[in-house]
Order: sequence, then structure tokens, then C-alpha cells
Amino acid sequence: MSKETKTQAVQLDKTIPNGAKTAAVPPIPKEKFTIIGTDDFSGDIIARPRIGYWADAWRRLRQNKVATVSLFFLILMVIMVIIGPYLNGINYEAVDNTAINQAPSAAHWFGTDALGRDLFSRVWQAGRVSIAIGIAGALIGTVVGCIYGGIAAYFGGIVDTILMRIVEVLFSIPYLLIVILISVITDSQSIFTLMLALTLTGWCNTARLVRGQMLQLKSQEFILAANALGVSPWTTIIKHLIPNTLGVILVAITFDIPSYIFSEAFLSYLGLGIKAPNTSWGALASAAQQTFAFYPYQMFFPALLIALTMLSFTLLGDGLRDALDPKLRK
Amino acid sequence: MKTKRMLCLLVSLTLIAGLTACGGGGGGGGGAGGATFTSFIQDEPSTLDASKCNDLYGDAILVNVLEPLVRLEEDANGNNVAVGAGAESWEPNADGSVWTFHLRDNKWSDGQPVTAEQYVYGIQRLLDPQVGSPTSFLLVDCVKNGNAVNKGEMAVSELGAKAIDEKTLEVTLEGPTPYFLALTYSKAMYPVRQDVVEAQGDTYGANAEGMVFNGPFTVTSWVHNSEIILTKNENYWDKDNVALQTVDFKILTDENARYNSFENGSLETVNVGQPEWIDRFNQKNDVTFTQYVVPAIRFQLYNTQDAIFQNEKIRKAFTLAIDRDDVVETIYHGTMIGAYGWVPQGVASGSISDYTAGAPEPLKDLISENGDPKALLLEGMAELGLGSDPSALDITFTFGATTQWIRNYGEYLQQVYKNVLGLQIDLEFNEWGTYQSKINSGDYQVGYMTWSIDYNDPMGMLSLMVTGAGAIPTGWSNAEYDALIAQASTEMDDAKRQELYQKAEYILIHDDGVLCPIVNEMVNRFNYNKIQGMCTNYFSTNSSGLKHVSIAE
Amino acid sequence: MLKFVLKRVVYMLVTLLIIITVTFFMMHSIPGDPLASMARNLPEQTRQNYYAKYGLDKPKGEQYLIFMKNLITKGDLGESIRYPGRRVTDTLMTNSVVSGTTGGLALILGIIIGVTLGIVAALNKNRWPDYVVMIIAIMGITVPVFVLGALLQYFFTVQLRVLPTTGWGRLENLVLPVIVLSFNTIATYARYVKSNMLEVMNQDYILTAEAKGVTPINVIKSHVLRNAFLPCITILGGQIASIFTGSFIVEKIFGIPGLGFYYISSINDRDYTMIIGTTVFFGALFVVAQLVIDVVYGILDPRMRIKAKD
Repeated sequence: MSKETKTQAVQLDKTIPNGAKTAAVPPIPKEKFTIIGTDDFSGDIIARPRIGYWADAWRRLRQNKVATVSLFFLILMVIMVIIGPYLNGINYEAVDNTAINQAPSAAHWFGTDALGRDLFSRVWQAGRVSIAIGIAGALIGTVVGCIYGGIAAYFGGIVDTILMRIVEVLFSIPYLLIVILISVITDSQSIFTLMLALTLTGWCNTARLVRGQMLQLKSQEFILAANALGVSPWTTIIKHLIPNTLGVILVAITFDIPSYIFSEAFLSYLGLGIKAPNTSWGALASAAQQTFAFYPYQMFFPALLIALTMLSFTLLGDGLRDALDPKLRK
Repeated sequence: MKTKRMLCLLVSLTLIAGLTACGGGGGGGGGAGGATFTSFIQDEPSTLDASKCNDLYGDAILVNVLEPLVRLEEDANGNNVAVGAGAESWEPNADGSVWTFHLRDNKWSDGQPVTAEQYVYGIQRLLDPQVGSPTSFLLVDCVKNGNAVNKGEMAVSELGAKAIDEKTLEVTLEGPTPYFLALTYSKAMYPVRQDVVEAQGDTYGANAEGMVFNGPFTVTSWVHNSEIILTKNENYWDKDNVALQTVDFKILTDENARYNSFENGSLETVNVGQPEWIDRFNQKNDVTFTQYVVPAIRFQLYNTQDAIFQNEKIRKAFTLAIDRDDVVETIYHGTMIGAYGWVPQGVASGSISDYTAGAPEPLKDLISENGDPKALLLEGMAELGLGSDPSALDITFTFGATTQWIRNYGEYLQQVYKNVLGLQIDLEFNEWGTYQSKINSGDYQVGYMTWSIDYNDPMGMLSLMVTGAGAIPTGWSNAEYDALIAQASTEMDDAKRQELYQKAEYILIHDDGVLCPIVNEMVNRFNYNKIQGMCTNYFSTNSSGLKHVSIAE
Repeated sequence: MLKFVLKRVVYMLVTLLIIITVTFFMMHSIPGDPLASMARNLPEQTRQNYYAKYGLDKPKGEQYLIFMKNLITKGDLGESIRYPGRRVTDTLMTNSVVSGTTGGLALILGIIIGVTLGIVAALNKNRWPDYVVMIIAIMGITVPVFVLGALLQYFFTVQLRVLPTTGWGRLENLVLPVIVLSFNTIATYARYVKSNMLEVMNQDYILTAEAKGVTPINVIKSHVLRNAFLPCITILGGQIASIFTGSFIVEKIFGIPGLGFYYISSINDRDYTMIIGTTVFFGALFVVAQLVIDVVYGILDPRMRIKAKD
């Protein structure tokens, strides 16, 4: 490792006040000062309004240009999936056997698929399902995973043992088997069934990660202090432990989003969830798989949108991490 | 530093372990000199036990390593002729109920002679309830006492299969069976060595080790899910006419991997299902393209017990709404052909080489009689008192696959029915096991299936729809149909039988509209020009295997 | 420590028992049966003979007891129904080595590259190396394995013709599958290492070490990395088990005789013995890996050492 990088590393978070570098300035003559007397109450006046944790995080997030751009991009994406399917006037489900597998052109901006359907309209229609599933899945998975992992780590002992064994059982039963069973028992076409199948085991990884991080944090001084002050376990987990594991959680979320998008495609295969002719990015990408040596654009556009969505979520996530990290609060 | 060294050690250890574990399968084309043909099978065979194998992949291997009584081979004009293989000659008695086979001198790969007793044991094993063979249905109603033996009510020795002497096999049937010869070159009647089966016990057929063969080749290596290597059998009676020294069957389930392998020459033949690849391979100047029909029909089945589909007019309307030319064009891009009858093309009926060539196509008549499927649908709805608004009908199509292809196909049907009949059908995709149980319990309206014929006679398709057969559960039953099939099954005169078959098929498809044939499958095969002597139709390919294939130097 | 491990072994066995039991009754309650999935509708007699042969005609409870008895007394997982004559244990042993080789190499490659990239990204936060790593990571996650596999196969074996398309047994056969399989790992480790390094570098003990004059390279080596690896260990615990069960898609594309095929196809085929076999195998590996993780946690961070009383 070079010397350069090491200094960067050290300086990374050292904030040196500007005023410290004043040694070379010549002394100021005495007559420039006047006595203005003292005010007994000035010490009690708070110069800036008190800013809560979340308000401060929001302020810091807005200062982060990359994160702000990502946020705007995501908003743009949402707008596009709402209006996109209507932009070129071709219905996303219209089969046209005179225009099969056409390359992008003036008539079909993103080309057409194996049944001659317009991919531009389809890609945005698909985005509705995929973005919704990606965000909802990641949120549910994360909330459940955090609480579960948090409880396991905080209480430890027999609670931890039992909770983690349950995770092992859920993890080891073949997922395909669970999915088939769900589809048989429940109404396989409802969105609830789809979400259930997606998140049933999806939170396990987050729970394991959060538990690992929290086991480490648990023995740190500020948790001991919180315990000593009689803070309730619930408050400790929510207010102290989770914010301090946000880095890992946010990375996990950004990984979860594309994985939910692809899982949805897999589940749609098995007959769960969205019904044809509706579609999703994962389904479009899978559809393009067999012939993508010949029609790479059928794969390219949905894959690009998945990647762009994930990129903006990741950058936003990094911004959020910095904004939410209690240690970086000023 | 220490961890690094440990890491290196770990890497090399896993490598060595992995490489040695895969055993003798490595090394590619085999060491022996002479011609090696690299071919493929699309999936792992379930077993090499001829009595238990019930997949096409195992069949493709077995036909090359075991000697059936008779093989179907192509003459100079490409027509199929039945030639003696394990049997030198054979003759039925006057009414076709007792068949005698005279075996030729042949040896197993371990030097033992091939005897009539081994063919008898093969038949016994297929029907023995203890073995639980999934293909016993091929002989159960045909060989004398087959049913009773299969139910465990009689000993296997009571079966109508006897070895008169070392070289003479006599098979007694329940009655005259015109299509019996077609069974002798299906997988049902391979010889089996009792001593080997008993020595290996339950593991017989699971691995290449310890197996013996009496066909043109022997299996020398079988790496599960990877490749099967065949080597020329030096004990084979006709070894002078076997040109290939080695055949390397790669087991490739991934379609693109097969195409890539053919493109760069690591496969010497390939079957193509995608028009784009057909176009690409056609541009190569050192390959031959062969297209032939497969006796398999892709069809829709209607649940005749359903509140809506009990009406034959509605069934016919759904059948007629599909334009088979458009399906072939839009869905299959010319890689299959439209089907207008229940018996697929290329099926022989005794001396008649292709049943469909001389038969009227029932669906074509139905199409010409009814110009407007929607009018037919409205008539049917009126009969059932369902009003006159097709879009009010609640109709679900049930599919037994979850692949992208079937989804595309379903979405295509959605559009077709919307445009032609003005109704929105729902699609339901189940994986096969779930689908199967839904169809069997009658929990469906319209289903979709493929059926490929089991033996080379229209009976293989038509007998499926007899009352109580249960193979295609539509809930349909027709006494006239049953009578016609019963009559045909003992009618030894080819022309008369043909007529009975045609009448029955007409009732099934035209009169009652129970099934909706859509396409007849085809094989689109490429092989490099140096590979010569490959068969050009389905039954000869599956019956003579690679026996006559050679490689030009 | 010994007491802790012993106790955990008991838990492990209980967990495995639950996994087997739940899976057993789940797989028997989904519709379909091995015969129906294998072929088409067969005559009733054929079906009955076949069921009797594999003991499927007995009540579920009895089947379960027979299975458990064979497993416990003989360590026998039975015979595959879909592939007559093959012992499930043989299949597991042979094929898991193949999957383990490809998966293991991919994991090692992925960790080496991923961790390196993560460190580089963390030390260069918000500068170009960070963004390059980010883009690699995003590609690793969003490009589906089947696309990557097909692309590499086409490019290296059809266009360049430098590697074999499919097969197993030679070193060249390993190259492409290992690269494809390592992509996801690279992305995962790069992101987690980066994120956690940044977190750890803000901790008081790092500042203390720096203030005490420990050289930055030593700070990173003995304090930052050690603690930043924690989530990596958690992830590794999940991955170790999966490398032996293999990847269905990658094995299919490159014609590798691994275990991934059985893991998926056994369920589609309703090959009951194979379903249970693969599940027991994966479960056992996963459960053991969790124990190892908890021990490693303690080694990495003494504060996390789980006490014997737990």
C-alpha cells in the first residue's frame, strides 16, 4: 500500500477547522478592540434551531449532489413507467405478426419481440411491476430482517438460538417446494401470494447480517450506557443498534432490489403473481434469453433499466448511509 | 503468508479432487483409433435398464447397444423396411395370433451367446409387477396373459412368450394383433441377461460398469449428466457393416450450448428448433440439412364435463378459431407443420407406409363446413342458454409448463381468441406435476399437451381415446368409437383396418370435436457433410440408430 | 468453548430433524407424483406396480418412519425414483465434488477480487476508483447469470475458439464457469467490504490507534480489515453450503455434471428420495457453516465471543 493512500485514509474523516491555520498572521493592534460588556443570557440562546436526527439526515442528503441526482432519476423513472406505455401510441399487448423481432426503428423505438409486440411500451409497462416489487420486497425483507436479527442479537442466549435455528430451517427447505406449495394452497393469481412467496425467505439473509453486526455492537460502550440508563430493549434496538448497522443494511437493500426483480420473473414462471399479458423486466429479460445472440436489444433494454434503477438506488443508498450515520453527524 | 500458502494448497486440492472424481469420463473422444462421431442427447437417460427406461434419451442409447428382434431400416429410396436384426426370419400363424422368430447367431460383449431365453426374460421382466416397469403398457394387452401377470395374478412363466429352443422364440398373443410387428422394433422387446440382472440387483442399469451389450456398440463410459461414450462391439454379428469406432454422446440440456457446440464443430450433428439458427447454419457450406416429421401432435384437449365445453359447437368454435398456418408462421417460424387430424404424419399402418397420405383430414372438412367460428360459438352458447355475449364467458386455459416459450404461446392464443371469438381467455401455467393432477381430476376447461406415438401404427394414437383409457382425460365416451377401435385391433387386412381407423378418427375430431390438433412436430437436423448414412425419417432413426453411419475421411 | 460446541451440535441435529420432517411432509403434499411427472398418464395397473416397488403405496407416516430408520441406522438416503438404481448418497457424493470444485474456485477468485476492489473503493471514496468498482459491482448483480454465461460461451468458444464449449474433466472446462460464478461474489464482497471499512474507519479505536502513531498500513491491516470482514463472514456462511449444491443454470450452460441439476429437477420430477437427499445435504452443510461462523465471530472480535452459558 502506497504512502499516499495511507494519508488519505487517515485524513478521510478528520475535519480540521479553518481557523487553526493562523500562526503566520501578524498580531492585531490593541486599539482595534472595544469592550462591549457581558450579557448574562447570551449563553442560553441557541444559535441554530435544534435539528432532529431525521431532519438533519434529510439536510445532509440534499447536500450530496450524487444522491440528489439519483433521487431525481428515480422520480423520473417512476414518471416514465406511468406515462411510458402510452407515449408511442402502440398498445403493449398488441400482437403483430408482420413485425416480429424487429430491431429498434422509428416505428418501434426499442424494437419488437417474438410476437411482434412493441418493446418500448412493454418495457415501461414492465417497469411498473418490477419497481413496485423491487421496492416493496426490499422494504418488507429489510424491516422484518432488521427486527428479527436485532431481537436475536440483543437478547442473545436461548432467544438467539431458537431464532437462528428457525432461519436455518427456512433457509434449508427447498425454495421451489415452498413456492409450489404456496401456489397450490392460495389463490395463485393474487399480488399478496406473490409478495408472500417473495419475502417468505427473502429476509433471512438480512436477519443474519444484522445479527452479526449487532453482536459486535452490543458490547460497545454506548449500548452498555443505554442499558445502564434503563433504556428499553425496543428503543435500544431501534434507536441505537439499527442506525449503527445502516451501512450493511443499505448495501443489503441495494442488492435485494434487483434480486427481487429477478425472483419475480422466476415466480411468474411458476404461475404465481402477475398475469399475462402483463409483464415485468425480469420476464422480458428471460424472454429474450434464447434468441439474444440474434436480437440482443430485446435483452439490452430491460437489463439496462434494471441496471440504471439499481445504480440510482445504490448511489442514493450511499448518500443515505452518509446522511444517516450517527457518527458523521455534525 | 501462511494463509496464502494454505489457500494455494486448498485450491490445488479441490482441483485434484474434482478432476479425479469425474473418473474415466474425461479425455474427450476416447483413445481408440478410427472414426469418432460426436453427437448429443438432450437430457440424462433415467437408466440403461431396457425394462425401466421410459425416456427418449435412454432409447437413443439402447437402440445402439442392444439388438431388438427386428430393425426398421431405410432402403435406397428412403422407404422403411423391417429387416431381421436379432431374428433372421419370422412368421405369424394364419390369424396373426402366434409369432415365431428364428434368431441368428450373435454374441454378447462378454462372449456369451444370445439365446431365445433372453428375449423371453426381457418380455417377462417388462410385465413382472415386481419390476414396476413404466412401459409395461406396451405389451400388457397384447401378449397372452399379460394383464393377469402384470396384476400379479399369474406367474411370469404363464406369459405367452416361450423359447422353443436356443434359437427359436414363440410369442403367443391374446388374439390376432395386426400391429404386433411394430412392437418388435419398439423398446418393449429387447433381450435381457438374467445372470447380469441378478448379479447387479437394484443397481442394474444405473451405471455402465458391469453391463453387457449385444448391439452394434457397447457403452464404455457414462458420466452422469455429462457424456456417454459408445465403442464398437467386436462381438456383434454384423460388425463388418458398422463403420464408427466410437460415438461420443454429449448430454447437453441447454439449447444454446448445443448450437454453439455445433457452430464450432465440437458437435457433428444438432437438432434445431429456432429459425434464426437454421438460417445461420444454412449459410455454412459443409453441412447437410434434413427435415422430417416426428409422429407427435401438439393439441388442445377440452374437458367435455365442463359447463361450457360440454357443448360440441363451443369446442369446435375454439378449435376453428386457431389458424394453423398462422401458428406455424408466428410461433414456430416454419419449424413445424399444421396438424389436421389426430394421427400424426409418417405413421405406417401395416403395408400402408403413411396412414395420413390416404386419409381425409377431418379438421380440414370441419374448417370448410364452418366459415365463421364465432357464429358457431354463439349457436353453442344459445344451446346452453349462456346469452349472446362471448366476452361474458369465463374461460381458463391450463398449461403444463412454465417456460417462456409456453407463456409466449399462451399470450398469442389470448390475442387470437380476442380477435376471432371476441373473448378474453385467462392463462394458467403450472409446472408439470401440478398440471397433471389438475387434468386428471377434471379440474380444467382447456388443456394443452403433446403426445408422441409409442409404436408405428395409428392404433398408438387412436386407442388413447377409448372409454376408460385415461391417458387423455377429457371425460369423453363414445360407444361407436369404442366399437370401431375394438374391431380394428383384430382386423388383419390393412385396407379394412385403415377404413376403421379413419371412421374413428373422423368421429373424434370432426363429429365430436373432443381434441384440437394444432401442429405436427418436425425434426430440423443439421450434420456436417463428412457424417454420412444418417437416417432421414423418425422411425428408421429410432430403430436403426447409428449402425450405418460413417465418417468420410 | 467445548461445551458451547457440543451444545450446538445437539441443536444442529434437532434443526436437521425439523428440516427433514417439514420437507418430507411438504413434498408429499404438493400435487403430482414421480410417475406422472416422469411420463404421461399410464394405466392404473402400471401405476400400482410402480408405487408398490418404491413403497409409495404405504401411508405417509409409515414411509416417513421407514425413511428415518434407514437414515439413522444405515446412513442411507434411499434410491432415486427418477433414476432407478442410483443411490442418493452416491449421487450426492460424486456430484457435490464437481459443484464444489467449480463453486469453490469461483468463491476464492470472487473473494480475492471482491475484497481487493472493496478496499480500493473505500480508500478512494468518491473518486474514480470508487465509481469504477461501483459499476463493476452493479454489473455483477444486474447481469443475469444466463446472459453472462451465454455471452462468454459464445465469445470464447465460437468467436475466439480458445476454450471448449461444454464438458468436464479438463482444466480448460473450468475457466468459463468459474468466471461466471465469481461475478456475483465479486460484486457482493466489493460492496460489503467498502461499506464496512468506511464504517470501521470512523470508530474511536481506529482514531486512537492513529493517534498513538500506529502506521496507517498497520491500522488498516490489524484493525480496519479485521472488523470490516464481519459481514463477509456472515455471507460466506451462506455461500459455503451453496457451492456444493451448485448452480443449476451455469451447470446447464456448460454441461457440468454437478449437483445443481438434481437440486431443481428432483422437485420438478417429484423424485422424493432425491428431494430429501439434497435437502439434508444442503441443510447439514448450512447448519455446520452457521456454527463455524459463530466461532469465527469470536476469533475476529473478542467482544463477540459467545459465552458457554449461552
